Amino acid sequence: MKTNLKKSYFFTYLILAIATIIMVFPFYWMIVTSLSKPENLFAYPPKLLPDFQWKNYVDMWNSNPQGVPWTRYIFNTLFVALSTTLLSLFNSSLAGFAFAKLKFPWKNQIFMIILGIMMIPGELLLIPNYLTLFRLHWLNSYQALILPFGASVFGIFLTRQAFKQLPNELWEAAQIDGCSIARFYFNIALPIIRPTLFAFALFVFLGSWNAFMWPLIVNTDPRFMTLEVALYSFIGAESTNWQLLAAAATMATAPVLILFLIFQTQFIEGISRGAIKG
Amino acid sequence: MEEAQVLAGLKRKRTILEYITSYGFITPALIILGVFAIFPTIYVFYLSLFDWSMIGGKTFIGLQNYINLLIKPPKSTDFWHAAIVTLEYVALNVPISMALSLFLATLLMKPIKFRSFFRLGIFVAYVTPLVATSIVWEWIFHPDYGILNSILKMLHLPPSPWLNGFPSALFAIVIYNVWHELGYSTILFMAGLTAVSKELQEAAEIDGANQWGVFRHVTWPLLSPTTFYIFIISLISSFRMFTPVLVLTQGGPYNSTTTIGYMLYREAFQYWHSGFASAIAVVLFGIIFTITLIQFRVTGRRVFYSEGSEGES
Repeated sequence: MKTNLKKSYFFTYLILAIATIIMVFPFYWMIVTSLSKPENLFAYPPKLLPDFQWKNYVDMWNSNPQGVPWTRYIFNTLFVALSTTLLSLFNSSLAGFAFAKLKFPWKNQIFMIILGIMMIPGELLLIPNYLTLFRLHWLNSYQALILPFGASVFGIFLTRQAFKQLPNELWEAAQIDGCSIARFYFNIALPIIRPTLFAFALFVFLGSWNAFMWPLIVNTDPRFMTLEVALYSFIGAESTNWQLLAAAATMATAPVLILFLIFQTQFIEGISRGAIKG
Repeated sequence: MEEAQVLAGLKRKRTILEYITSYGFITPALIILGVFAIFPTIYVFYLSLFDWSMIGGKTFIGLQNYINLLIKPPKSTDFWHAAIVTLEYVALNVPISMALSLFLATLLMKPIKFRSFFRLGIFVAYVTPLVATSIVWEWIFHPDYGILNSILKMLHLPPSPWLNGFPSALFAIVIYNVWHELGYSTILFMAGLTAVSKELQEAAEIDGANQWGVFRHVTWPLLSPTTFYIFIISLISSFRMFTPVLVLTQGGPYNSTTTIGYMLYREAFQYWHSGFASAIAVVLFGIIFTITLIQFRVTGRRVFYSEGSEGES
């Protein structure tokens, strides 16, 4: 019986190890390719170890795709991701607080409508939202990438759940002390639900950093492009220079990977609570 | 008496103040959701009734866009072709990713060492950007110098054209998406398995059932709500999939990877057939809405799928 168990665990380890290697290999291969000498890219059998040709990164960095330096794309991506996160965090948690703790007419009806928005897939909104931005003269701008995501149903839902956990006595005591609603929200309620806010912020930031379809459609001016869109046009420009493409891909992936490795617990727990988007 | 009136007055004042504050609190979110989610949902139905190309005038044509899309060739031929490609993709992607993630999740639930390490390795692809990782996979799939064909060659197996061939391109897209999404459903399955009572499984094991028997008769039935939930979300995300198509194949070769989602993108933002593309969006929405309704009827649980950003799909 015991040896049987051990034997079955051996296969568990073996299969999991193979699965992990397959899943992680593309990242390894991306780095190896990005550090490869061009002539070694086409070798058979393939060279599995990197050449440490750091020059590839210098070449990639100096390539100025579409006449715009990479620093601009990096700035755009960071700026958009951070602004979206802050804005969505602020707007969603404000609404979440109202739905959790305040009484007002039509509260449940409004909340049901907001929940209904969850059933709408993004593809349905692409054309009319493009048109809205066109009419506002907001195509090729930062707000085109930020404002449409400045509030999130999911965020409202999540913060509402968290605010509901606040003991009612706390809220009543604050009211008796003459604490205004706004002050209670900012000074007491928000700090208490920090873990929820943080997990939500991570997912908004990640979603914004990785966004592709919407930025591709609305910002065709390179000066307002994010990294993912710049990478897409870089594929067209450097179609066969795999070492440069891989270097650029590594550059776009590394920040996300690092962020994920630091906060993996929050990411994975957020998802296993069933709370995170699919 | 007067005191009571004053108190009542104060209370009313406070209630009114609470109403005003409440609306103040929800207004910013309502404006954004109203402008970018509620209004466009209604507007897209309206747009789908026009012959219109973004620039220039709109001509009202009633249901003609839908007739062209669903019934009248040549456009309907394109659409039904895309519908079949989408169904093929769904039929490959959903079972493969579900079977693999359930299998890996069951292994990860065993009392093993380095569990969080394995879990991390399996999950990490999910958080990485689509275009960046597509670049690597394009290189892995490269017909002449890609490592996948090199491995096949070492194993004395015939190479494949992968993204450049029919029907291999669709398989390559499936491989890429399974790789990218696998960690997500694995984590969900692990959460479901944690919820399935351990004692019940152990009791069954003591009763002499083997591992497969325990899984088949105890775990699987208890896990079915999770399985169904994952089935629905992976069904929906498969129907919507198009970013990898855009990056890896542009719908080719011979439209063999043109899904409904990709057809929508091409009609809307390459050919600028805005009215017609709106009709595609409505039809795609109809499919997804039906799936959601079925899911909601069966379980009463909500599916989150339009959050974060439209960029991810």
